[in-house]
Amino acid sequence: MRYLISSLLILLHINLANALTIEASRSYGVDKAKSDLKILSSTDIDVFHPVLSAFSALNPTISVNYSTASTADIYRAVRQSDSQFDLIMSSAMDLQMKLVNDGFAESISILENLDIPDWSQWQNKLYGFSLEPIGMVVSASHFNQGELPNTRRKLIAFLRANQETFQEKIITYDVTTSGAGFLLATQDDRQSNSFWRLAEVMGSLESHLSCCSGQMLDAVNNEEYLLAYNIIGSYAEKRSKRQKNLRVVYFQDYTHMLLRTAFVPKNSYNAATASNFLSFLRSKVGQNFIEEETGMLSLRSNLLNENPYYKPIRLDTGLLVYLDRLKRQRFLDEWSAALIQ
Amino acid sequence: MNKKFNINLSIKNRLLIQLGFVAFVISACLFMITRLVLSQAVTATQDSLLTASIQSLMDKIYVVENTISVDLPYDTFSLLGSVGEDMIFYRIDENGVFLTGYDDFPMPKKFGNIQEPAFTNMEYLGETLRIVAIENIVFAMDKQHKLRIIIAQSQNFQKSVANKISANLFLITLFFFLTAILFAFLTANLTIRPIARFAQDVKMRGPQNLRKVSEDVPTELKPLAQSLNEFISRFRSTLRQTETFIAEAAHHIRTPLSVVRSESELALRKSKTPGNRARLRTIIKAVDQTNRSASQLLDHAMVLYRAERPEAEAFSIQQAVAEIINQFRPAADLKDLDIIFSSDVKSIETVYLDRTLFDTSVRNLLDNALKYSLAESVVTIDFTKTETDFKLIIKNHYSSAIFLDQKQLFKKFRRGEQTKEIVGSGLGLSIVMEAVNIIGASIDVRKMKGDIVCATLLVPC
Repeated sequence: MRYLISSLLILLHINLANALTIEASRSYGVDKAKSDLKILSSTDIDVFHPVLSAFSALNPTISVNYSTASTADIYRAVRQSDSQFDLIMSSAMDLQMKLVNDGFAESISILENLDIPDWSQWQNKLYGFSLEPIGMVVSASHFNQGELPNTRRKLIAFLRANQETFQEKIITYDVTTSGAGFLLATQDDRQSNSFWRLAEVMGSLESHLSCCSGQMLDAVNNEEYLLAYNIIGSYAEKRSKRQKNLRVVYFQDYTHMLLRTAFVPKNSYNAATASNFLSFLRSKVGQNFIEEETGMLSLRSNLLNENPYYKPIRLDTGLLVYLDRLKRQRFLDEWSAALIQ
Repeated sequence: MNKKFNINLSIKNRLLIQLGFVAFVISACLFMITRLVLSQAVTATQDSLLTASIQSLMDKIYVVENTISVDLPYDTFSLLGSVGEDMIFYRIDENGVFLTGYDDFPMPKKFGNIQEPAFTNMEYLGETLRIVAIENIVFAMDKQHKLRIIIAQSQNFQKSVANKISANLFLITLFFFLTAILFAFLTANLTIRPIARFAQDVKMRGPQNLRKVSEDVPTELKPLAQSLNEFISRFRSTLRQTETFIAEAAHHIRTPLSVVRSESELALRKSKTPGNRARLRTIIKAVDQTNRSASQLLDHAMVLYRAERPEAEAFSIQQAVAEIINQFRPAADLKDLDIIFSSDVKSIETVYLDRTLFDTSVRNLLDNALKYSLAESVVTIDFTKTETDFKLIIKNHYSSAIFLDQKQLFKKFRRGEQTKEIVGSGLGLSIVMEAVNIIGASIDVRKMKGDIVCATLLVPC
């Protein structure tokens, strides 16, 4: 067993009182019955486990309880203020930004690491702690190295040229159910017109829609599907070490960099401890841990400087617009029209 | 208790305080006004940004299938929130019904139009927000849709700019204030200089200096200088008149007195009744005293006159002392006093000072020594030269020297309590004191063991 005996894994545990679905939960530190720091996160425990262990080892007096839930559930839980957590971590930048903008976050002061770029935080409330390049995952056995398209335009041409091969063999996020999928699709919409052409092509090829990246990666590895679009790079690369049929492609017209962010909610009991944890995540030690142990990229990753096509999604109030009722509906209508033909 | 504080401040300090206060008030006003103007400028900048935002939002309002739809501009919201990491809220109502945005956001009272939007400040979620509000009519299928649109932005950017400006402004104002203080200091010094010069000029005036003060003074001080000069000249002439009068009076008294004395002596010689003889002796004694007082008044008048205009000359000090002593020998013989004079000063040693004043000092000292000496005693006069001074020491056995009151000793018309039997006016030592002061010498009279009085006169070489 890889995990500590004391660890607790609750799959699809429904907390009836809060209507918050905790997918998994685990405690770290000496006194596991009484946790000092309660974290609600969208990042899987096995991805984040090394960081939590390291923090726990460095701070033996602090016990940490780490629970995971979907980004949409996290958003709802904070918005309704019906569950008490000390730190909210999520990959849905837009939902995080909306919560902070709408006054659900506590302003905190953390020990600033000077190496960390300024764009990775907002208002001393919302702090980024890792970067995730977004890419495409293909079934390695069906592609020769040379024919892998490295821009969206080439991908469109490639799919048009190989319609029979890819008929019903493409899978992507269902943006109506997946928060991360919605964010990535809206950023595509914002970034480039070729996204809608790609969406049309994917629709014409009767692409399959999925809620979760894990399922999509498994399906590509099994050759059930040949191509998965808009996949979080760290998951895919970590999986590709075990599932040898997975190959990750980053587009060179642009590759979005998702920022995983965290904030201390207003109803936190342990804001100081949460600030400590956040300081640790953004410290040199924390950033090195994130890069080396989790497969996510550090905020001071050289990739950004070396490759201009890596574009971090900006952490600002622009993220709010796709959450607007009318704009969201309009986008979903367009998307459905393109993908579900 | 009503205690009145009397703070005595110099004109310079008064000026400094007043100018400093004015500089402080002006600096404070400058700071406040500039800050106000700058904060207005920052608000105007924010308003322009909000105006541009609401105009770009208006451009993104569409009519789709007879319903109003809004496509919020991503870049506009991004820009609004990224400048100062400001919070953004918005709300759009259609015909008074909430359409999209924050449904709990309170609508302001005033709405402008797209050309001239209305701005207000409002508290929301503990933040002060700047709100831009417009009301616009949109036509769709000949139907009128009244849209009310607001965008609210927190004021972090405004605050951070205002804080930065205030910090710089504070330094600038401080520099201005310090410069003003420096100028105040210079101004105070320049203003006070002629007054200080005038005060110094006046300060130098005294019994020894009754010259006119300079009339080269600021206009404001001219009347004062003129009055002072008039006063000085009047004082001088009054002084001179008084002295002349005293001298004249003394002179006029002395002549008839000598007639009275010689007539009285003649009468004494011829008188045979003891009663008459006793009366005549009393008359002669009184005449002697009056004569003596008149002489000393003359001496005094002379000393005062010389005080104003000393006439210095070079003379042999040893000879001068010896001559005076010789003049006193007959008087000493009358009282059977023995004058022992010893001197190691050579006769070629000269001093440069007013000889009359010097002679008067020595004469009065000797006169006193002889007058108060016990009969048949010795008066010792020792004249020596030290490194810096000529030192004349006169010692005599005092007939009634029980104690000497140093405070009273040199006062005019003051005499010791045991001196009533001895003819004298009480002017002698005060004349010596004044004369000695004028020639820059010093005098000390003190009682020594064995009823000896010792007078020491120090004359600088």
